[in-house]
Amino acid sequence: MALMDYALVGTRQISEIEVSDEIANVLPPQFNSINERLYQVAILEYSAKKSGELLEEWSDEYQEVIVEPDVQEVSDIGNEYISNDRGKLKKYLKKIKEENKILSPENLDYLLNTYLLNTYNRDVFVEHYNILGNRGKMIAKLLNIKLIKEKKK
Amino acid sequence: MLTKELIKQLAPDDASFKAGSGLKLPKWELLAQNEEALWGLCSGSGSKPYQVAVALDNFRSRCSCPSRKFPCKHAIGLMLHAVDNPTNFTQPEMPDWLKTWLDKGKEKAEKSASKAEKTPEELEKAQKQAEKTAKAREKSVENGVKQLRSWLEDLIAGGLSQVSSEQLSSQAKRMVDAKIAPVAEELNEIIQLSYYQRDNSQEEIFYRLSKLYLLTSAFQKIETLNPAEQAEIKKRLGFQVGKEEVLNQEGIKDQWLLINQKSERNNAFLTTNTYWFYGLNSNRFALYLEFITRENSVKIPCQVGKTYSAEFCFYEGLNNKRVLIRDLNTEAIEALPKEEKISFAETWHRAKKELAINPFQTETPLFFRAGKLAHKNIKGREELFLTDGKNVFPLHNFSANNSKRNSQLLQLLTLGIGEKIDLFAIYNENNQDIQLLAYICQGKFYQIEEEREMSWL
Repeated sequence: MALMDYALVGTRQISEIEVSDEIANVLPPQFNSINERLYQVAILEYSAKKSGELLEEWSDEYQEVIVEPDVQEVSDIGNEYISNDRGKLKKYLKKIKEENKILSPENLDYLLNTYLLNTYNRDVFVEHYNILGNRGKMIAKLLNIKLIKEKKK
Repeated sequence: MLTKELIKQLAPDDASFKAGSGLKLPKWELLAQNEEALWGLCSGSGSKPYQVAVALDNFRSRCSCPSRKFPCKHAIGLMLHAVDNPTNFTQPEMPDWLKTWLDKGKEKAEKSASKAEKTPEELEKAQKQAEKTAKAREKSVENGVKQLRSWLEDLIAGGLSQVSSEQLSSQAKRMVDAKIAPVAEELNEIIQLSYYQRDNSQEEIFYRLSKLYLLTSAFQKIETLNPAEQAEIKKRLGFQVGKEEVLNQEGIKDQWLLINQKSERNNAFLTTNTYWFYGLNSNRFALYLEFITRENSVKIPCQVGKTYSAEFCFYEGLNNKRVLIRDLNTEAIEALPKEEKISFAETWHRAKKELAINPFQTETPLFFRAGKLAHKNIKGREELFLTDGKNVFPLHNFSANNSKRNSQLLQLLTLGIGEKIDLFAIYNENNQDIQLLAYICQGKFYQIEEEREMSWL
């Protein structure tokens, strides 16, 4: 029986708790009651489980995040575009696209935030994904964001 | 000295700072100052302009507007104009309302100073009264702990599947009556957990109840524990430690980097500010809490990402992180932690040691050095990690809130791809949640912001 099952059923229904040898070895020798024993085992078992799980070992399943920009980066978005004016942003994005440039991390952060977090549908990044370049595509992939092209009007 | 950064720090939230910045000059019928205070008259929605004032000795503020935030947007606006447009400030005679307010403030300060200067008789009387109160409190807690223990035994005997939130709630109320507020808070959090119905919420509830039981066991034999353990148990049972007692202990002088600051509005009258610091030489984390009320709106003038020479006194307990500030040089130093090769395994090993010493500790701060971003496909989703090449630290399981998670990951991703990252985080042992605090990338410090403003919604 798993520890949680003992706890759910209650100690009135059970006479002893089976524990692993590891836990049995560190349990104090005497208990006043089975209630105390169950709570004590829970502390030991869950502490061990929880503190052991945070770090994982590196394996081939992991890949380092690397992005090779294939086009020139734009380093400054320019004050006139740092605004919440959607029209201005669109105009700027169009310009970047025409000049075949991608955005610097800071500007990409700003633009992705405005689009992702301020639009009603946060799971779909709809507009202008082409101008983001490889970095933007990689970020979208890692954030599990679906990229779709802007619909032609 | 008043600066824009300091005003931002004093503001209760970003929205108030923004609103204060929006109060342009035409809104102000009067802007005035002298050595003691800034004051002004700002037109609002009412027929009369609001009377706004800021005391220059400690940046305490008052305003006749109905806002429950303090400083309110008008006080913030007034301070901002003092920085941006000092020439617009005149130096007229102080109006009566301002004099009365400043006098009251001084009176209060004098009263608290005179409290410290009591006659020996008064001191003895106060001491006796304090001892009497402490004894009554101890008795109440002792009875409360006994009752809690017996309740927990009944609970586990009957089985957790039979526990209702009403039972937990009524026990929480009993703990309030017994003056054991932290246990009442814990029980209320457990009630919330039972509503979430997460996969592992039953396990978490059991674990947290077990820790409450352990607390009752520890209290029963408190006299056999060492002073640090005793202090820890007493803290968990809500015994207060006087500020003077903490400040009388030997402090740690270091260069403290402010890594994260956040404000939480507890209710209309109280806001708690949480500051996490990291000592560049001691490699210690320090947690400073500030409680802001209408009467006390004084905040420490520190900025996130800056380092300050200071002496912190730690509260007694097991690996206690909470501090009081004995001495603080408000002049910021440009300094970040030195590069150091500590493996993730070693960092985690140290944190586990802390958890082993103190089973009641729920939040463990971590500092992972020189990690790189990595990803792995888990059930069709790309999940993010930080790695030192040997171990990986998951960045994907922090925060259940999706938009918050995306916002935090986004910030880290856009700047950190291909770079070495030093990451500050807090591991919550109860629910295995990870809260990212800040990171250092390419020699620059970045605080992880909790939530972005939804400006288009």
